[in-house]
Amino acid sequence: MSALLTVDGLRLTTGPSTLVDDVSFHIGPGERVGLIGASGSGKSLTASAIMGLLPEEITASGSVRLDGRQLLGAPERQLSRLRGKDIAMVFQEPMTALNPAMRVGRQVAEAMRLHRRIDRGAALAAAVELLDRVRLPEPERIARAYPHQLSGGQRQRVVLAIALANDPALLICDEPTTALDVTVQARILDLILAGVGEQGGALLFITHDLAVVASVCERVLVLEQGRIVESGPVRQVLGAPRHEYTKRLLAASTLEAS
Amino acid sequence: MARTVNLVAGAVLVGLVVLVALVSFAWTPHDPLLVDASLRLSGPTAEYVLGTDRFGRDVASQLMVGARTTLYVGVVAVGIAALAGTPLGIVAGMRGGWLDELIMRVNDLVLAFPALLLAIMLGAVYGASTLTAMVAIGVATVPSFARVARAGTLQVMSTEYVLAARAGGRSRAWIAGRHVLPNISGLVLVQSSVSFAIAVLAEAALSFLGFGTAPPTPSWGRMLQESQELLAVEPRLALIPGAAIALAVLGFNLLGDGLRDRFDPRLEVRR
Amino acid sequence: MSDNPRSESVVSVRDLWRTYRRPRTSLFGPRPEVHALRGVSFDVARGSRFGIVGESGSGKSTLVRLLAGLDRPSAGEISFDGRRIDTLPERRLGFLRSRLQVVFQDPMGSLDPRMRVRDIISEPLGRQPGRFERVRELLEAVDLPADAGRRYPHQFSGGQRQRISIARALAPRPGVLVADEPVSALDVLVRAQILDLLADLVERYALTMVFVSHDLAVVRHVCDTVAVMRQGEIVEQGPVRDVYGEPRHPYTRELIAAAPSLSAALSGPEEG
Repeated sequence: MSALLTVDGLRLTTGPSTLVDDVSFHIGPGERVGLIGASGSGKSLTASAIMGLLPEEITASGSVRLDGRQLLGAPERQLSRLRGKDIAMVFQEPMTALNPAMRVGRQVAEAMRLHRRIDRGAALAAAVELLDRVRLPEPERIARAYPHQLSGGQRQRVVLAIALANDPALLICDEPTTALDVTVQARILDLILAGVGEQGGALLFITHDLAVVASVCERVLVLEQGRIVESGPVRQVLGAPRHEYTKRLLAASTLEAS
Repeated sequence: MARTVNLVAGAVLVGLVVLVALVSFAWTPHDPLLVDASLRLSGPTAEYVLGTDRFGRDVASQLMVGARTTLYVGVVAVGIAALAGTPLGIVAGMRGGWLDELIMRVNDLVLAFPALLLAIMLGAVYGASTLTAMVAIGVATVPSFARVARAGTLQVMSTEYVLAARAGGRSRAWIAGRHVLPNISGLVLVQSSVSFAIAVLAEAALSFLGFGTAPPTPSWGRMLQESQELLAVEPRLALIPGAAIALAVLGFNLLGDGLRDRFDPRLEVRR
Repeated sequence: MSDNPRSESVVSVRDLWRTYRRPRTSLFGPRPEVHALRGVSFDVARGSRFGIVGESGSGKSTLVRLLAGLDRPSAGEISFDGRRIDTLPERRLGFLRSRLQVVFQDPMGSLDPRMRVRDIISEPLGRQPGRFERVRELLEAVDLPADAGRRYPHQFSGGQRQRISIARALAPRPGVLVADEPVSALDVLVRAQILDLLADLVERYALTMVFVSHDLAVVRHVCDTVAVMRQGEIVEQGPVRDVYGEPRHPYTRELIAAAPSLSAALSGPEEG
């Protein structure tokens, strides 16, 4: 089985400091992989590198291939054609991911029109359908609303709807539920699973919450200070961790043990 | 990048004005007030680098001493505005309620009253002078400081460190002095710089209208006024003080912008 | 020891209401009202660790402000050591300030960026002589290096900043510590360390702790008693093992079911 995403020897540096060092992994089509680690471990930077959204001052070397195409160092025009279509991303803070001055329905519709040739009316109708797919109540009404009129959970559903708009082959989620209440988190996680499940998309899920990763992913990569220290099936890595760092993470997460 | 460019360019221009003003205390090429009919309307020469005016006075020397007037007016006007406006804004922001309402409505009232009109009225009553111009500009600028200070105060008051200070039993005065003032000082500084630019412009306008600095004290606005009859003959006399005013205003505005970027709280979070 | 909480309660809250008035949305209609708290009652026994769990909008932050005397209730009573605090003006709450302290959530926003750490920590002490001696003691108690006092908040990590915040709260030797989401902005590893530190300090100084959080697992780990809040009301309260073991209210059950659990996920049915 050929991999959908192959990251090989990824190294991110800024000035003299190395932020991510020799990170290699692959994600097969439809596979759900978790990337865990404490803050500052380089989780989010790795995701940014895959999306081609690294800050200017960071230099990347190594290789990131999606379906055989090299993404690292690819021209911005080529990347922007991929973003939103083949790879989509859901960020932690839903408020900043949405344009405050644009109605929600139009934002979802624009995301579709960016990569597909459909007229405005059809896109808007499809947007309402998509809002319904992420189980927003009264999707027609929500489509006419502005982001600030929605709750945090509703906003994250809209962001998810935008990410799923073009049925991406790979969905990257960076701490998508950290800012949300537990009951809302559970529903968003279900939606993410359903969203990638329906279309056979792959998932790269970044979080510091081991319980979340255990309930969402099949395989997990443990990142410590920019290096992958352990990887494997979720049950194996979190059930019987071998690396000291994974053990510490686990002990800290299951508070009963500490 | 662009942020530091603003700051540096502003600082250089402002620094130049300050330097020229300081030097003028000790030295000017000629006596700026010395009238010499034989030298009337001389163009730039090696001795008179910017030429002379219609009374034969050295333009370069007048310009240097004029910088003094400009800064003097700016410092006093902005000083009045900052010293009155900042505490008013802090009180309004911290107390809230009717006091806030009162201060801000009076503020609106003053804001709606043109500074130039106020200066002309003061000048009519007390006689036009640099002092009336400074006071008028200062009073008219109080509202801008009160607004900025109030907005900053509201923001600081909503932080958890102020809650912690209150939970620690600190008085309002302590919180105002230790938390609010230091944290809004950046905003006040930015406002000072921007207001300085406005004050420079207002002083020039007032002197031009004859309600500011009285002769013979050199002032850029008065140089401009005296030049207007000769505008067709000798545009140099208008262009020189005009350029000085423009550069000084630009300098203070750039400095204000640069400082604003510097004190942007979003940048402060980053380490 | 908490068999008879009534007689030994430090904090006692009776039928507490707090209503906020929103700015007008229309020119002529009445100003909309938001009921942040709707008839909340509970007692915190001396020496207990009382948890308050709720999601956003449950009213828990409003409750913290009221307990700390930073805001006034619209109706109801709050007593501290038998003294009503809801009727006193802020300047007469001096006794409360030294006996009840708050640790806030945001380790960045709760420290004044322009003050040195030693001034931050000694803030509740005023100009007391020997306050810097006390700062040294406190830095040691929260496991920060002695030279930390000379530095500024931005020179510390999130976890260290929360330690500074805790040191400040302990400075006036309070009997009650109110912790408002003290670990929710922190990383897992740091979170565990801060929770351990809090547990240590509560024991060492025989503190009563009111611990407010949205995280059920954390409250379960830290507290012995818990109150579950939803939309301004306490829907269920009691000893932690009863509430978590046999939740009576549907909302409590929903909360517990929604919280992701590592052991459940790992022992669940193998997926295809």
